[in-house]
Amino acid sequence: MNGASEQCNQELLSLYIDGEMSPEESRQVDRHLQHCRACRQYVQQQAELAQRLRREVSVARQGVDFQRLEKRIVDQAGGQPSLQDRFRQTLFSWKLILPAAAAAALVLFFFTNLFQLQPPAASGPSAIINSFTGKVSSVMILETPQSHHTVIWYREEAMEGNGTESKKL
Amino acid sequence: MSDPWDESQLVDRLRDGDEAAFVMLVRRFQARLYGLAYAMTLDREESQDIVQEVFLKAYRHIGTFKGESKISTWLHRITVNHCLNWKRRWFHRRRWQQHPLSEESDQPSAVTLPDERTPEARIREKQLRQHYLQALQALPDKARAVYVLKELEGRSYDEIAATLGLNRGTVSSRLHYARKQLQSMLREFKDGEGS
Ligand SMILES: [Zn+2]
Repeated sequence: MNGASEQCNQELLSLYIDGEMSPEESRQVDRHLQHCRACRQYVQQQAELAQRLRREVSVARQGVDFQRLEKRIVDQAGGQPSLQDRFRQTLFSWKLILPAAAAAALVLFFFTNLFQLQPPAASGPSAIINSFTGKVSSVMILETPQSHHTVIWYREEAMEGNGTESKKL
Repeated sequence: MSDPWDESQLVDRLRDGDEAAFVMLVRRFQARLYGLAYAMTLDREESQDIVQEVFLKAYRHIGTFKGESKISTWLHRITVNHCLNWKRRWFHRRRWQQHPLSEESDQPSAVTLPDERTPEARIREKQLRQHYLQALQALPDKARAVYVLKELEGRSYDEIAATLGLNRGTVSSRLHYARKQLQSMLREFKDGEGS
């Protein structure tokens, strides 16, 4: 129906269209195309299809406010996502580290008693962390058994020491 | 060397957490990534969300970019992966399959022929466009990813292979498959008209 002969090879035509052939192979295809209407039609239809794809995409792009999209992306990235994500991740996997958390709570409980820290007043937080600087690789939130202190335990990335901070909620 | 935004310097600045570099990255690539996402999903709204997720992922993981490929290759890879994940989620997959192109097909199209064409020609173009979008949508994801990187982005086989983690032969055969499918749609449509 389309007059395709045995010489016609559409996979080769794809390589030809894409410039992925050697100059000699490309010349051979040129010669074939001169007398093969079916292959000429194939090449032409592929150009038409590619053009159609680019037009569809171009129409879709015209409907986008890229300034707004840029702002949305930059604003979101500006919220220190790496820290927030690690924090969220830690909370998410918290149940998995409960035994570790319990052990740490005990250690901190004794630590607190050893230095005879007074429990802070129950009316409000003893400390509020407004921002972190530096990177934190893991965070645990614990409560001491009797005094009901909330303990936030975090490990700083690329540093050897641990930081501890305690406050009453 | 003097261009503060050439690719290697851009990457260095991104690694240092330079916010201006990130803005530049977004500005430079968002329209291209949007096009890629749209060609993969055919969903205008979702493509914006995908572009946003891609940049946020790039922002967080710039440290894993080794600089062996172009940053565009890296961004394309993240985008294609996001698009494939998007389609794997059942909700979207169902929506995609059950309501193909319902929103898109009502929107004005650049491929609509100029007004001086006959109403028949305009109807024909509308039908052809519908056929085309359905054929594009019906392509297997892997073939479509190769096809779009070739025809939209003009990437070489080697670049596509690097982007998708394939070898050249697979790129070539998937591309051929995609073209054959689309062409047979076009031919069926034209044959159908002739009868
Ligand atoms: Zn031929």
